[in-house]
Amino acid sequence: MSQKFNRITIDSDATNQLKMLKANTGMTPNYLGRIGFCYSLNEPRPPNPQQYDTDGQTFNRYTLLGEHDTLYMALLKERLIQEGKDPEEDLYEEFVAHLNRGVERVAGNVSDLSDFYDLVPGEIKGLEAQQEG
Amino acid sequence: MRINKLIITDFGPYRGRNEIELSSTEDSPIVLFGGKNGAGKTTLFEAIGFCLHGKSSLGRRTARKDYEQAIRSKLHEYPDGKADTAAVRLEFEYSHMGEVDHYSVERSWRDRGKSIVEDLKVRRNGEIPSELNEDQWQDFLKELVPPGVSQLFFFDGEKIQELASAVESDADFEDSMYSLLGLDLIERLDTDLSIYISQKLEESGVEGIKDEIQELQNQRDEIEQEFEDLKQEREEKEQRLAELEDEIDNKESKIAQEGGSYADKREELKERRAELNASIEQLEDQIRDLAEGAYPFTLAPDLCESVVDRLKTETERQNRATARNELTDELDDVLGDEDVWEEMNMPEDQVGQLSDRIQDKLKSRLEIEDEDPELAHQFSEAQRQEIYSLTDRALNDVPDQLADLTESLEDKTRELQEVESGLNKAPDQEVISPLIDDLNELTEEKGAIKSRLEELEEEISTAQTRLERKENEVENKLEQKSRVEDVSERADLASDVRNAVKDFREELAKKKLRKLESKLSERYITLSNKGDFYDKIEINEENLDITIKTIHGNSKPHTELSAGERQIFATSLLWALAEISDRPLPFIVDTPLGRLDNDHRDNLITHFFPEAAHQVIIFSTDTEIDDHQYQKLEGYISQAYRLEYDEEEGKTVPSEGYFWTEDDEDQRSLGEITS
Repeated sequence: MSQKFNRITIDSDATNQLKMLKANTGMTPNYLGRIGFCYSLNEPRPPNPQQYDTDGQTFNRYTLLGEHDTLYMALLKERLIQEGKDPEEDLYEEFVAHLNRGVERVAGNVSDLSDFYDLVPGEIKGLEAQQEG
Repeated sequence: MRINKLIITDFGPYRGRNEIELSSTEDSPIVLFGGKNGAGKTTLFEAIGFCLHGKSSLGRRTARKDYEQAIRSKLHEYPDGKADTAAVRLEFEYSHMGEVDHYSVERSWRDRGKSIVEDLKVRRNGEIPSELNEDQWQDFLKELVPPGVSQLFFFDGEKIQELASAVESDADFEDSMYSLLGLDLIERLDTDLSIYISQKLEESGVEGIKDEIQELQNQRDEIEQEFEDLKQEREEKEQRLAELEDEIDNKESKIAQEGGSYADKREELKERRAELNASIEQLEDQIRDLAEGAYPFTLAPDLCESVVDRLKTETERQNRATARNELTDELDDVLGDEDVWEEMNMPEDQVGQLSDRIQDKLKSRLEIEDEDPELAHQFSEAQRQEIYSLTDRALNDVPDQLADLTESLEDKTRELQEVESGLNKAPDQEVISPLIDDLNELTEEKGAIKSRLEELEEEISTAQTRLERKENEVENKLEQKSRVEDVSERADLASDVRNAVKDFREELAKKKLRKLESKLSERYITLSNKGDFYDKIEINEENLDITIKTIHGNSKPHTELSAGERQIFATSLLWALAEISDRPLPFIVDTPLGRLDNDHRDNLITHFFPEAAHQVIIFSTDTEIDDHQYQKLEGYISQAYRLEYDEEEGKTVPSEGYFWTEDDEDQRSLGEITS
């Protein structure tokens, strides 16, 4: 099932945002995409797949997710399971939606590399702060 | 002056102390000494001169050594040796401004072998003259009895002979005349002046000195100009230095305004920026590494944990299902084994029942939710383990690491911003470098000026020294010039004086000659045995030719006088000169009548001795003044002594009375009288 798609095409805005992010962070869109994807997964509200077009950049799946492909997929499926969606049927659609939304969010919050830490959810930073404290 | 006493001690033939009374009276001015040759007449005569004049009595230019020799030869010889001391003392009175002072003058000598020590004691009225110190006594005596004048009064036959000879030969006579008139002093003064003048004129050379002064002044002016130039240059340089310092201050403050201090830090900042950039790049690389690694999962921690939980749960369930299936399979296998049942002898249907029952029981015990796994089946065991460790890293390690890296990055970035802002504040090289170039140029010029100023100080002090030296030279030269001018002025003065002296001498000579003429005429006619025949003596002012005028108006040159006449003439001359000298000195005459004929002797004895002066001391031999003549003199004699040399004793003992006395028995030695 996870082998259902090999190519991913994203939103045109997201594509532009990735270009901008690349300029700001020196990171290639595939890495940025992973970050955006995970960031979106952590948002409680599900994305709206209809919100995004497919006029943007197309990624090779392996290029996009790399060696940790399985875990990314596991996270998405877990979310779909939790949302009571079919992890197989909606997988691609949900994947692209999270990717697009995540890129959008990250682009809004990251202007350089030091902003990545700000993306880390407070509960983990809080843990750290407590440990430090 | 009247000599009252002569005390002679161990001098010549006089042994011990011999005190001889010499006092005379107005009416009886003569003190007569009689003695044969070698008896000590001349010694007494000389003793008076030695006592009064010391070395000078031998003549103006006598050497000390000769004088000492003369004195040493006068030390009395005792039978057992020569005396080493001698003394002559004169006591006399001298009226001055109507007051009569009594003087005593004692000169004593001590032979110290190598030299003779002389001691002079002068007393006035028994006291040391308070206005004089010892050194001045000699001068005092010269004042009292001038040696030049004394030779007119103290003379011997020899002197008369000399003078007589001089009368014969013109040239010597002229000298003698001038000398006796005291004109030789003036002559000498004239000579000295002429020497002085020629010396002074030689010394001078005013023109040459003027040139030298001009030359020196030119040199001085040059040095002065140099000196002034140097000082001016120094002033200019100092002014320029002050200006430069102001300019440098201005430049520096301008550069400071432009952020000059940052300029210094600029390189430092650049270096730091490079370091920071490198650090930042490194940090960014590290952050990127994280971001490209496990970081994305950090962003979805809950989901990660859910996945992990789900995987673990499903795996657990899967494992249990597997175990149960294996167990039931084993059980089925065991229960299906006939060997198991055969040994128990159980009926076949019961076996079936029991087997089912056991299988059911086991199944119910191993009852599990037989849900289909949703995730686990998609992952291999290895993948699951990887997920566990990956999420563990993402949730535990990454935040810490990222926090550290981000913090560092932010710090570095902030610092970089500061550095950049510092660099931005640092003035633009284009603005600052012309200023700095200017400043460098100014500083360079300042250094050059400073070193030039140091040089100038040196040069100025050298020039000053040279100037001072040159000024000294000029001053010295000017002094020399004024000295020389003074010298030539003095030479001029000396010339004037010389002229004046010449005039004076001529006038004086005239006057003295006229006076001499009249006195000499008087005296000569008195003493000459041709007194009736001669009228007067004329002396030519120019050549001092002496002409004797006869009563008949004829004239006779003095050179035509006979030897005897010349002696008389000479004696007359001395007499006349002594009178002209206006000094009230006694005549002391030693053997005066040597070559005279009886007529002339009579004239001298009759006219000269009694009339010559207020006191006349005569040393005579028995042939000069004999019994006959003595009787003519007798009325004028206050004291008469006989000097007799005792050959056995080797001494002379003066005794009262002349050679011929009425009563020889009355003759007693002075020693006997005084003792």
